[in-house]
Amino acid sequence: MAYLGLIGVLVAFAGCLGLIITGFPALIGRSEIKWESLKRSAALLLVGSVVSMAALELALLTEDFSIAYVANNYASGTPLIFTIASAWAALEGSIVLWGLVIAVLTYLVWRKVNQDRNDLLGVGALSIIGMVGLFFFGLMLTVSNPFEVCTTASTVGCLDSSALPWAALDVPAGGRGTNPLLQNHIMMAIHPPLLYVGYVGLTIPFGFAMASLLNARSGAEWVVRTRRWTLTSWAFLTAGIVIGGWWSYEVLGWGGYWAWDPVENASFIPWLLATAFIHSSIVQARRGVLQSWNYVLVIGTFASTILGTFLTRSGVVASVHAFSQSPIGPAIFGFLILVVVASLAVFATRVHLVASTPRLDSLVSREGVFLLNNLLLTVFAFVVLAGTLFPLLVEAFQGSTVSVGPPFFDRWAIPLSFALLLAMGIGPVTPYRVADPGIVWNRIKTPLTVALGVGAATVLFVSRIGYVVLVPSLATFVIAIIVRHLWDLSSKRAAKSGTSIPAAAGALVLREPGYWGGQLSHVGVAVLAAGIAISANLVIKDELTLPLGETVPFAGFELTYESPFLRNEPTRRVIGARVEVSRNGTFLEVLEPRINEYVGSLQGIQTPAVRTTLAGDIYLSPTSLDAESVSLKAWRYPLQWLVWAGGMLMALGAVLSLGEARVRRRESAQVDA
Amino acid sequence: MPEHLKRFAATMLSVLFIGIIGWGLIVADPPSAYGDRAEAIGSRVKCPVCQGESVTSSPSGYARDILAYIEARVDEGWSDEGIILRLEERFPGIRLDPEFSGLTAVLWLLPAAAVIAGIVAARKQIRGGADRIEHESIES
Repeated sequence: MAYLGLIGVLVAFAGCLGLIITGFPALIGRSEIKWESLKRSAALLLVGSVVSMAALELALLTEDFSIAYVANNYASGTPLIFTIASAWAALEGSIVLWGLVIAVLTYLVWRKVNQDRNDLLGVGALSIIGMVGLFFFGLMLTVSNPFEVCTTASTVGCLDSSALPWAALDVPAGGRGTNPLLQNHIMMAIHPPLLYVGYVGLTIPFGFAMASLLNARSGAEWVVRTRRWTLTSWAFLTAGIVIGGWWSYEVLGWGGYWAWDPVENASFIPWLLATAFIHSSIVQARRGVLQSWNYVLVIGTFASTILGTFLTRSGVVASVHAFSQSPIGPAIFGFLILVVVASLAVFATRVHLVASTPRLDSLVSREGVFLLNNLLLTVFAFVVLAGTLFPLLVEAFQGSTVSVGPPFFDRWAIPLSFALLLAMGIGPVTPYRVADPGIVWNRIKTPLTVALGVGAATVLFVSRIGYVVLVPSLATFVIAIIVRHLWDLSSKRAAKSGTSIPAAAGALVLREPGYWGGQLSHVGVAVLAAGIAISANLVIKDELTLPLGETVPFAGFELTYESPFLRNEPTRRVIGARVEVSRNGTFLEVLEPRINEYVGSLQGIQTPAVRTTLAGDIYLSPTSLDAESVSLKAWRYPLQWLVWAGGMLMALGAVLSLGEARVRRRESAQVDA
Repeated sequence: MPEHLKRFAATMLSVLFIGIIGWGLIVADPPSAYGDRAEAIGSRVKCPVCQGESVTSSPSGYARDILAYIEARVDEGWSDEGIILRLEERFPGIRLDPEFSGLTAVLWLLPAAAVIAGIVAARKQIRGGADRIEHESIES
């Protein structure tokens, strides 16, 4: 299997080289492209990466412990889904998945490259994307080889390994097993692939941007052609981040979903910048402005995905000194520096060829709000970046430890989010060019009254905590503006065409899926913001000790420790408590907070049990557990589901927006014909 | 109802709502999340043996012990800062919200600098009177 895997990696590596070489003429302004060779390279990359991924999966499924990765990251008896997911649960395997994603995306880009039109932009982009691919497949061949064979076995797992598949094998009897935390929830199988598609997908706009700079293709072509890639990546990144938060909530048992830890921040920075790019690219496509800025943003977005990979994969987060323990850290760091320096150099020397500097007419316009949005998102990304890197830099240069945690991030994130919500409410109903304040006021005055009404009702009937009053009101404002705007347009349309209003609204949305998809994402952001404010500020928490058979009140519910239980499963021992939840004496549900002890792991994992209803969650995390009593940390999170629903709406909105690219392409095809 | 009456009613309603919200924010409830002072302090310091978790959020025994220590100091009447300073002596770098001084001032000033740089850059995007006509063609 090691041979098969390595051959796959080599073939893919060759494919990347082929893409770079074949595409290179397009980057230096020559127009003779060897199309056959380009096709062969894209196919090699795809086939090679599929073979390497398949080899890794086969090795896991057939329990081939001669491969060090399998021996160190898998144990017999692991459920099928986690066996498959083990292929990306550890460093080396995750890079194989990375390679597969970039290969599939490259193939899809290649299919859209038009030979008849001598599409130099597309070919150049493939060459750039090939360079990025070459780096990752190069990692697999050198410092992060997933197909190393075990040369010194331990009782479980592998102590020493060799990159040469013909080295003398010493096959361990069993494997060490997947990281228990990752095995604890189904989300772990889904979360990384989603994030990877999001991360890797952002390579494509970067490739097109670089190609457009290098072959001096001016205009918005690169922006328009990469829009669907950016939107797709953004949708995956959003879904990946939200599901990651959900995983953290369901598995880690600390009662939260976002802690501003460096690994989370590593995914949030590209998300913020990609969000900014999605908005500013609209302005370039519509109005021809912000051309240079879009190059900067797309370089920043791509560089931040590499930075994210570096932060999550080098061990630098635990300590600066862990960085040099594995050669992969310096390799990715070097690549990051190369990307930043090379792309900024290309930008600085070539931008005058492609970007003119038309300006905005007025700040009071859609473009002005987009500019505000970009300012806020970029500053937000910068704050997260600064807060994440600061402790590392201080440790590296000063040797002292400084921590930067939630209090710092919250202090910036809260005002920035308020401003973003406000811009999000007003922006989409502000006309382009120069906006008449009267028109904007007409579109927002009713929503404003509705939002104030929600705020007043919250004060009177729910809570007088500032955030709980203000954020849901602001969210209502955003949503009401969108609903009013849709209602207004569709009732006019319905009156004109004689159809019903819902039918007219549907037709309207389908005709402009880009705009309305964006609005759906905005609704998602508003819902998410309201959910965060409500659940974080109205949470009730307590530490409870429940003697066996006794009932303790909590947040208007009663909790009873019914019985302990013990289950022996193939890869873990589950010790848990059955806790009955009831309200006013009416039985509702039995929750099973538990401690999972995995084979090969010393510490048990405290796994929470969550009861979710529309009103909110009851979240029980065990701290200690025996036959006489159970100690729990208990949380009551009102309306927690709003957070997940908001996140999913955001991703859905981006999916709906993809329809716009199709509409555009159809239009441009008609123009060409 | 005539248009001007409608408008008057809407304005009055909005004023009423604003009044209620304003009153609500003035008599504000404390956030329930950290009603407990010890937990509020615990959320500002890092659990020394965990990765990126505060003392309040970490389930580890070590964090529990520190929280118990904080609770004891709170009961003795110590100030928030006093407790954190004492913890910092024992665990340098434990503070999650670095105070504004020396090195960390850089961290606080960087985002502020970014805001200013952004505003300056954004202002440059607005055209002056002279080139207003020059670029009119992009509208097409």
